[in-house]
Amino acid sequence: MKQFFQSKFFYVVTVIALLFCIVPTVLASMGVTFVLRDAVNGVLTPFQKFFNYAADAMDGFSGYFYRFDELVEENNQLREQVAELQTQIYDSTEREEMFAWMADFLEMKRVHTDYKMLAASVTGRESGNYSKALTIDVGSSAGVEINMPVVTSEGIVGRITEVGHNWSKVTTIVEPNSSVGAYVERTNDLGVCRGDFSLAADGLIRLNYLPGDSAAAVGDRILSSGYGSVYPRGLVIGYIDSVEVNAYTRSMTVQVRCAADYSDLSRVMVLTDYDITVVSASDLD
Amino acid sequence: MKKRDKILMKSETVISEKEIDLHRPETRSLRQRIKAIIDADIAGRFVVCVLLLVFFALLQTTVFARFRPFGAIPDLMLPLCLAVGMTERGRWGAIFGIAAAFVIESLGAATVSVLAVLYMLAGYLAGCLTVEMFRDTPATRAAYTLVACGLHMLTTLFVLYVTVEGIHFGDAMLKSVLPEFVASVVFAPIPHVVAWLALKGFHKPREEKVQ
Repeated sequence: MKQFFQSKFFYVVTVIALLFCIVPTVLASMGVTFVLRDAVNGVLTPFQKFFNYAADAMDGFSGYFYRFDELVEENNQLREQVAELQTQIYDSTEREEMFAWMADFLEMKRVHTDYKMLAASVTGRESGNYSKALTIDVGSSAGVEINMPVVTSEGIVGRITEVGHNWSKVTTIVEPNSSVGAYVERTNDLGVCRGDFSLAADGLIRLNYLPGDSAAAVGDRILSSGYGSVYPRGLVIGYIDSVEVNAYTRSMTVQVRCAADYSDLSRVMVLTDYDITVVSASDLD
Repeated sequence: MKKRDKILMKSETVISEKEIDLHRPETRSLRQRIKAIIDADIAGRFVVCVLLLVFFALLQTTVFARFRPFGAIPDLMLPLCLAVGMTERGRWGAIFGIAAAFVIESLGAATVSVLAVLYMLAGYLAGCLTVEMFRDTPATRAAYTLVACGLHMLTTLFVLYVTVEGIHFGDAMLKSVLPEFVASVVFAPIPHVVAWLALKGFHKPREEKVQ
C-alpha cells in the first residue's frame, strides 16, 4: 500500500488536485470567474437545459405514482370531456403557463416602471448539499453583472454572485450568509431577513432586529426595504410563518416563509436596472 | 529473444536495415512514438470516459438536484471515479477524479472547491488496490463506495463548518450530511454499472475483439 503513495505520478496528480481545489476557491472568494470554469459552463449549459426538460417530463410521469388517488379522480372527470378538447388542452398548457408567467411580470413592470428585467431559465441547481444556489442561462453577454437581484413574480429569489459568458450563479436569500433589508408591510417595522441553515430546507428565513413592541403577526407580508443597495424597495420577500416573543428579553423571533418556491423554479427575471430608494423608519411613518 | 531477431526470423524475405530500425525505440520519430502510445483503444476509452463524466455531471446537477431523493442530491461522480479507477486502473482513476471534481464544481454552484483531492484519491486508490490487493467484485465495489461516501461525509461536514456561520453539528448531520450519504450509497450502483458496461468492451481478450 505504501508504494501507491511514493510514485512520481501520485505526487504530480496530488499537486494538480490541490491546485484545482485552491485556485477556484480563491478566485470565487474574490468574485473572479475561473476561465476553465467559464468554459465548462459555457459548453455544458445548453445540455443542462436539455436535461432539465427531461427532468420536467420525469416529474410529470412520476406524479402518476405518488398522486394516484388524485389522478384517478381527475381521470374520471377527464373521461367526460370530448377527446378533441383534451388534445387542445394538452397543446395549449405550455403556452398558457408561459402567458401566465409573462402576465405576472408585465404586472410587476407596470407597478415598478423603473425596473429593467431580463428573462432567464434555471439550468442547474447546486451540486452539493451545502448551498441553495442556482445556475441561470444568461451571463455577461446579456449584460448581467454581480449583485443584480433575481426575482420571480412571487418575490425575491436572490442575487447574482458569479457571472460567466452565457451563465450566472444565483445565491438565494435562504443561503445562511445572505441578508436582505426588510420591513413588515402592515406595521412598517424595519428588520433584516437572514438565511438560516436549519430553516433553509423548508424555504424559511429569519427576520431579525424587529422592535420589541412590534405588532408583526403570522401572515403579514414582508417586503424589501432597499437597505444594502442590492434589492430595490418593495419586492416581496415572503410571509410571516411564526412569531415567538421571549417573555424575559422581549425580543422577537420571527420566521418568514419565502414567497418564491425554490424547489420548483424554472424561470426567473434578472433586474438589470432600477432606481435605488433607501427607506428609513421615519419615511415609513 | 530480441525484437530484431524475431523480425528476422518471422520473414523469409530479406528485410532492409531501414525496416528493422523502425522497431527500435531510439530511431522512431516523435509522430511514430505518439502513435504507439495513443492507439485507437486508448482514444476510445478517453471518449467513453468524457461522455460518462458529462452525462453523470448533468444528471446530478439537473435531474437529481430536482428530485432530491432522501432529501439530498446523491453524489454520482464519486462512485463513477471508483468505477473508472477499478476498470481502467489507478492513473486513469486519478486523472478522471480531478476532471470530475472540476466539472461538477463548475456546473454546481460550488464556492469552496474540495472535491478534486477526494475524487483523485478515490479513483487512484481504487485502481491501485484492484491491481495489487483485491479483485474487482461487486463486494469490493460496495466496500470502496461505502468508504468513499464516508470520506465524502467528512468533506461535506468540513465545507459546512467553513462556509456556514454558527452551524450546529446535529443540523449539519441530519439536514445535509446523512441524507447525502444515504442518497449517494443508494444510487451508487447506477454509475458503477453504466461505467462497467461502457468500458468492458475495451478489456476483452484480443481474440474476442478480432472475432
